[in-house]
Amino acid sequence: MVNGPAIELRNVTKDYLTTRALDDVSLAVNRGEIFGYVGANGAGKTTTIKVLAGLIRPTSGTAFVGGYSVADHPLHVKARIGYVPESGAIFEKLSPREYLTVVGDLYKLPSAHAQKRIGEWLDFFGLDGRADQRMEVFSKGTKQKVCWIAALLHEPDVLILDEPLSGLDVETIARVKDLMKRMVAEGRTIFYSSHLIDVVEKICTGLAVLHRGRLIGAGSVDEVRRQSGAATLEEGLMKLWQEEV
Amino acid sequence: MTTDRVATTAEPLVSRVVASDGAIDRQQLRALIRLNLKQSFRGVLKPGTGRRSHPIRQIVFSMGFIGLLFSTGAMRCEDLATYLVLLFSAAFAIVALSVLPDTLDGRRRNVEIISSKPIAPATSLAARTINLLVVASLVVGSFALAPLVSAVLVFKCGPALVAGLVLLLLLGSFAVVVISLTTLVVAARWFNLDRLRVVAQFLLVAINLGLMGLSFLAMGSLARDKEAGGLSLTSAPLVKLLPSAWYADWLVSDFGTVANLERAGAVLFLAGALWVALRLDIGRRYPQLIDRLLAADERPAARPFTVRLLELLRGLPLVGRWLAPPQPAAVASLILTLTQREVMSRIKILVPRVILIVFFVVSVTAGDRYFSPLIIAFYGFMGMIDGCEIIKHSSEPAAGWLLAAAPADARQILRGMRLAITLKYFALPAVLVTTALFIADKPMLAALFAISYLVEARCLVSLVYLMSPALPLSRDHATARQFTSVALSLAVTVITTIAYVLVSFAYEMFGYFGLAVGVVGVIGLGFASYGLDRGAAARMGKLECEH
Repeated sequence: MVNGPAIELRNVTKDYLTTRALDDVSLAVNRGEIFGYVGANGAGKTTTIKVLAGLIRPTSGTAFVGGYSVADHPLHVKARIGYVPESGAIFEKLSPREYLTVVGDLYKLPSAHAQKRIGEWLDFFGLDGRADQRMEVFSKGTKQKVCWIAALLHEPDVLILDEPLSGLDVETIARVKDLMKRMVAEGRTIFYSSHLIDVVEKICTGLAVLHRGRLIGAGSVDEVRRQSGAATLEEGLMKLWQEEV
Repeated sequence: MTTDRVATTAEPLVSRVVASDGAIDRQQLRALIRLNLKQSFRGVLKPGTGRRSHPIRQIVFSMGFIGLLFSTGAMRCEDLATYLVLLFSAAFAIVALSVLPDTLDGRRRNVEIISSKPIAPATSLAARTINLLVVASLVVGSFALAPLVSAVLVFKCGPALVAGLVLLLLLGSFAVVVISLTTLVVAARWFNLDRLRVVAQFLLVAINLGLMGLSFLAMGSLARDKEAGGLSLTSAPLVKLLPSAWYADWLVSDFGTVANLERAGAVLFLAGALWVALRLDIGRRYPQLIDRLLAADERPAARPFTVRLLELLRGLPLVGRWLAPPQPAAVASLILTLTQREVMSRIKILVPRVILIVFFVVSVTAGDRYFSPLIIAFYGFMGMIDGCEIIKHSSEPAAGWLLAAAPADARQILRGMRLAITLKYFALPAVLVTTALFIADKPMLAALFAISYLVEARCLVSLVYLMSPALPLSRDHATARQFTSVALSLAVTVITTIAYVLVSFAYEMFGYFGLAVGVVGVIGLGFASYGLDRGAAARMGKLECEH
């Protein structure tokens, strides 16, 4: 991994036909940090994440992950990140084992190692008894667990998470939070996008606030709260958004 | 500006008066009919193409086309009664197999949305009945239009008779749909309903193919022998046992005992269907059936044959890893598994595959031995191009992000797509063409042509993706663009024919020197294939994830 911030956006703008989804967004996320990325529905969080994951190209500006430009070295970047999409979409006609085996091959994991890791993660998420069932019979939360495993299988340096707790049960949420803390302690970086402010407040160290495609606040959680002059982060963000309106 | 507060009242707005089981609530009935019809016929924007689908137009065109082919059979029938029995039988079979119970998702959605509302059974049954009547009328009306015109032209039917036949077709098809749907749902007590759906869908394709084949045969025999005798079912008593015959004979038979019994049968059939439609609440009669209908199939998923073949290929000593490296093999495995488990993908390839096999059999047994391989090659190319299109589509296109987010470059993904196409859509034509070549030509020449067919196919896949790049499984299912595959296959087959004739001639004239010309040609094709491959990968690499 090249030196510098784990994630960096430099003046990133993204236009969809007539809509500007991101407007000159710049930010940097240090290594070993859980970085919260918050905003209302349609603020541009998912667009940012897709730019970072190399799924779409920005109209202008540059995104870096692990010091690599996403546009110039997409394969280097993709090999280093784990991505949990907001949609939680997976090929439901496959079983978890089939799906995760494909993921392991796509990330070029040695077959035996991949199978061992798949077994361990299925066990961690309580899916070991359902590994060979088609996922179309799974609940949303169970499918989300498979998405999590797909993101973790190749032990990424950077996790990019878009509403990652959606549909998960209380016990799994607690386990996942604990897992994220452990990963950060190991020096990995987590970019955590959500509109659930209370979760972000509890687990994130850094924070950026997005509103209608523009960054309107960034810093540590306490700094953002102080910046708004509110008692809680939720109230603070509401104030920031209202000021923008 | 958003509203801060929506006023609420102490009393709920909804009427607390719930209709009794036997009464139909008109407001609810209107709402349910609107909902059903919109769900069935409203076009939706396809995320992959951005184009709007037109279900009504699709039904009218596809059924109209089958009807048009059927109408040519009028000239092969000896009498109107025979033609009408065939028409009613075909119409009833098509409508029974076209209108099927909902998928598991649809059934669950219905329970969540409809069954949670205070709707009396009589209302929902009435709504369902009207919906079925509309759907059956649309399908049968589209199918029967051309055959009825044909009946007017060939058998000089008057307007009153045609109007009566239309009415009988609509009533009969409605009755058939009600009875067949109910039978399928009740059969779900013992069988998996989704499997029954698949069987019905394949049967429909088989009937359509059969009708097309018979129509072409009928046209062919008419062209050859205009005086040939026609078909007549008037002396076949077993035909009178078919409900389709009861409706078909209604207006054209006499008033004898048999004919009147047929009429009574038609009335009873319709009355029975109406009773079932308006009175039989399956959910109440078989409470456990509903649980069964909503239960998902939790059995372990079996690996498709092509995936096992791929694994066998990967396991080959020395060449296995070269033929199927991990990333392309993963892409291929994903495509092969999903296209096998999605009914839509399986049905789409059924027609080209059946045509290919039929032409192979016809070509080898009765065709010209020199042109047989070319005809089979043509259908092989066509099936393969259809395969190239099919693997772009999936019922879960949003899940395509996996391939866009994976650290696999476009050439590896393209290689995986080619691997899947080879195993699933090209292996059979390759075997058939090679067999036909070895039947037609000397071994050395046949081997050269077989190799050139493989290289040509490789070129063609790259060309298709150069022209229209897409990540695998990243688009919603769309109607296959048959014209593209026919035009492209025809162009490539014409070029192949010229090369085939030239190389055969050179071999006859100059022996191995002539063969060497062919080898040079194949090497040139190999370079062209490499160039096309690079071009296609470059275009694919620029794609953005659409979901």
